[in-house]
Amino acid sequence: MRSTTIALALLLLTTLVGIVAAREGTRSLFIALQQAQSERFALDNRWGQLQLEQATLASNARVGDIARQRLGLEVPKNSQIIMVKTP
Amino acid sequence: MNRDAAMPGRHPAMVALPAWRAAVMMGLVGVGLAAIMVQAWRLQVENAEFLREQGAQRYLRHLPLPAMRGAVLDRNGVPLAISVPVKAVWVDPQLFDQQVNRWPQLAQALGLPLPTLERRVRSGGAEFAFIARQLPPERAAAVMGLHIPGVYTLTESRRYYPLGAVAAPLLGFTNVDGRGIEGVELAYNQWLHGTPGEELGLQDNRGQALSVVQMGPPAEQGRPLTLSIDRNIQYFAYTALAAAVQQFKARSGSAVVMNVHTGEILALVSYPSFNPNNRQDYEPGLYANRAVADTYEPGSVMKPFTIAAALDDGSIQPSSTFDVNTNCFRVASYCIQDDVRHGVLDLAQVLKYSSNIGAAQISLRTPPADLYHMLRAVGFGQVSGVGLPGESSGTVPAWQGWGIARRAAMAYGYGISVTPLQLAAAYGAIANDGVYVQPSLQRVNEGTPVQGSRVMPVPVARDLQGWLAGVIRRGGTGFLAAIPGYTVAGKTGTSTMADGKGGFYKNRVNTTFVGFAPANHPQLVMAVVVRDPTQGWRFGGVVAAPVFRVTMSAALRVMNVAPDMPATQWNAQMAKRMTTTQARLWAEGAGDAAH
Repeated sequence: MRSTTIALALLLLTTLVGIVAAREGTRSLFIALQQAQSERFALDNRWGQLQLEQATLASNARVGDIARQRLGLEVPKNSQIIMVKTP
Repeated sequence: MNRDAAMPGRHPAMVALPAWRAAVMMGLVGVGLAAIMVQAWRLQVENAEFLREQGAQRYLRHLPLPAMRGAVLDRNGVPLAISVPVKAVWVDPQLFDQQVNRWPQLAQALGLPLPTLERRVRSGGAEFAFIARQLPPERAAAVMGLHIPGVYTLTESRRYYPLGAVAAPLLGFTNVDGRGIEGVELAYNQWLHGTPGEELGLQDNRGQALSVVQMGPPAEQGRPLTLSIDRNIQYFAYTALAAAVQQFKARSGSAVVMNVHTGEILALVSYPSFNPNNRQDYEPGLYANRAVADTYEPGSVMKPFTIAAALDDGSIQPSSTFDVNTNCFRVASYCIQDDVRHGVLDLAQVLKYSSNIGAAQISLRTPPADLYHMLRAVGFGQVSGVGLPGESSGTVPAWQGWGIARRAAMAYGYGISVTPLQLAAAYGAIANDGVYVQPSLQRVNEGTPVQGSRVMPVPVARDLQGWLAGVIRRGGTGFLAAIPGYTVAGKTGTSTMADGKGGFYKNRVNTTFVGFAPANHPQLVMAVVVRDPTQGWRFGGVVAAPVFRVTMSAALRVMNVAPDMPATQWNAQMAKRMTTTQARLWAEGAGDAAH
């Protein structure tokens, strides 16, 4: 009788501590989730910006301008095109 | 120990107290308990609803789970439209009203005048009002750093279009809520649009989520859409078209490049255009996608279909000839003329010199129903099925109503209205050996068979391919469309603009070129329309054909189509018997597509 009471009391205590631990675990997991989500947001943001940046850097208009102005290239006129036969 | 000492009443510390004190104490405790119970009743029963609501208002939030709109990609996966997450700042007016002294602080952080801020707080609902939208995340973080109760952020997305004006009329755009309003964005909104999720959560007064109370529906991200468009071809088409519209001071222009076997649209451009990344210079007229929305009387580019109908039903033979040696071929009260007087022409020459008289003679020999059904079969007079909003069907009047004058006029492209996309698809049928393929904006995987419908016999289509290649050779109206190293086939059109009062303008035209390459094994077809050029030589062969040449030579390169014309043949063909003007125009060549 007495030992049963003690056992139950101990069990109760363990459960209580368990609840506290679970609560604490939930909280820290939730904080981690929040952090992961905001990190994901930041990464999404960065990825979008990088894609945009790449598209801007590789844009035909920019490449064309560099080819024309900095490298002095131009599209050959028809009179300048000579077709050659493959040997 | 004295036994007596333990006896009650005899202990020295034992003093008899008056009975009333106990009663008073009991009474006080009773009153206290009663007061607590009354208050408990008030809080938990009487005002429970109100208080619970007030509490929930302070910490319980429907937390939206943002959903990104899917990206639009070109056929090689290059982004044409992508969404980047941004922040919106909103307030809960019930809480925010208690912080009036901090309003100027918020207004300053957002760069808003205070009256504007007030108006925005009032213009929302009782619990929610947007204050600022589409903010860069750093700015939103600065605003949240102020820790003003009742101010929150949520994540939304902003759409960017890396190609800018080049593809703007095709792609359209979205509104601030991320819904497609025009173009591909509208047509494929269901596919691209994500559905935001929601969960119920606890939030502290700084808008920081503490825990999730209840999971709602999860966010469904938008799906990416891969189009058949090739970014490079789109760019070349746009710049070449823009250059032509500017050079000839035209009103507008549009062009379509299509794969003849699959119907995939590789480029679809319209000029003038707009910058979809900054729509403050709102001008609705610029948003039209002229390649599918604008119809016009196409003129001579319709002649191949007149010939196809006549050959198909046996009204004429491939070897038939036509005497066009007159200045005026009279039909009813009309006088049909050619620009230059010719003698007797065969079919190749009718196309090469674009003889109106020849085409009219062919049409008058053909039953009108046969021409009508040919025009319908290659897609005129009906929407193409490409699924873009605002597409016009054009008009092909029912053949029962054609008088003799209309029968003649239909032969060379008057009395009918078409879109540039329809022209490209119809020429695609000639190029595809007589099988019409519906144009499509969706990428077709290599090796997937594409269903088409046969609209003319193979020999008729083959004959037309050969004759149309003649148009591009020396002396033909379309020689400015010739591309070094490739055989090209096509047709020019210069049509007088209708004045909307039953007649025609004396001096205003629409110029067209439609062609495909390589002529021997057609792969790509392109239609170019430049409307109402006001300066220079206003002919389809001069205004529109160079746009074809610049774009198509780039497109053939991009699509890895091998040159098919032997060098000796090409050099010989282009060197001989050109007029000085032709030689000059030709030498100018592709020109530069700078824009």
